[in-house]
Amino acid sequence: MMTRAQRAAEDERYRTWKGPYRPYDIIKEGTIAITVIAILVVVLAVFFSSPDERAVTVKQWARTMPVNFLQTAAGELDGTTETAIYGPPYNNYPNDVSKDSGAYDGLDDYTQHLWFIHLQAWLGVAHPINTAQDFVINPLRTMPQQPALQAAIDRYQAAPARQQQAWTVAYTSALNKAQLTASGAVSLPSGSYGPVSEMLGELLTFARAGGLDGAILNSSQLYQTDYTKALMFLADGNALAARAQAEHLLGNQWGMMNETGSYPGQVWLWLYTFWYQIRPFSTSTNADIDVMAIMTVLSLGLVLIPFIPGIRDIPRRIPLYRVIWRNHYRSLS
Amino acid sequence: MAAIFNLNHPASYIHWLFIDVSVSNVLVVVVMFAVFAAAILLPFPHGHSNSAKEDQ
Repeated sequence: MMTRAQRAAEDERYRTWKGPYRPYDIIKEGTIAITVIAILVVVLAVFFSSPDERAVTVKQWARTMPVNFLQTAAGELDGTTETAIYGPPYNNYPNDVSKDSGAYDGLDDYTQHLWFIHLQAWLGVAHPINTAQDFVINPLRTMPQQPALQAAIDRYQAAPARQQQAWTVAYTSALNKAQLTASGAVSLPSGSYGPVSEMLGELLTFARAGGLDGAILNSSQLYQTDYTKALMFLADGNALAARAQAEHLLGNQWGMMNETGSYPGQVWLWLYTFWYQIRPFSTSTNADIDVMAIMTVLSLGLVLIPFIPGIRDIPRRIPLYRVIWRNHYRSLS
Repeated sequence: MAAIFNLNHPASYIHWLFIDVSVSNVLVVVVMFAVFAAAILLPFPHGHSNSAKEDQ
């Protein structure tokens, strides 16, 4: 074990190098490294190709899980889905009363926060989504030559909120008794659904034909690059979650570090996804910001290793460098 | 064009307590450790005597 004085003497001795120098061509080494990696990429691509999963679409969801599609659409209409109550950045949750301190502070309990850091609320509604308008009413309004449908939408929009909710609740309850006919149509028992039955029936037909995928993405941009709305709509239903679960991509399946198929994934994210597997994070509504805070502290620890007593002494206690430079140390002894 | 080894099929997973890792991820970790060990243990290029002389 070196004493403090010996260590200081060693540091002083190496402060100015008095030994010989050897040439080192970093350009040559970099070129070799890039060439080897490029060859490796091409060879691995030839042998293993790359993940090639088909995209999940609303059309596919409406065709394979029509009842779940209708349940989700009814939820979007009356604002009870996960997207509808998510809060920022998609919307302001209507119940904006905090119970954290027992006093109103303008921040609801559904936004993630840590102590006084209310990141989710501070960043605000950057990507507004009105689930009833964006996922149901606006796409239905794009369907031409359907006067009965347009009249149904007008009737729904003109009705008081309590009446709208009564229709969607009755419709959602009836979906639990829905039957699929031989033609694939959804048959419901008769009830007081108002215009909701016609609206959502047409939405299902539209979705099955593939029109809803485009209608939800409708924007003024020439090239569509923002798929947030379609993804949020899909995520409110069961189709996306079922696919993700089958591919081991859910958050509680260490999904952050997995890839589709049998391809290796992002192994280096193991520590991020690890926290989501254990309590209290696995059951916390604040898990994201909690994990972010832990990883920030750990990353700072990594950066500050040279200044942390004990940790910075590990190379002295476990002299692995002596194995790497064994010829040098052998020649000294 | 199809790959020589098709990996677009369901993966195998290793479960241990709450840990759930795919076999392909485990293989990547093993390869990383092997490369790390090789980087430490393999001699520097240009031969033993040359590097010993230059290091002095």
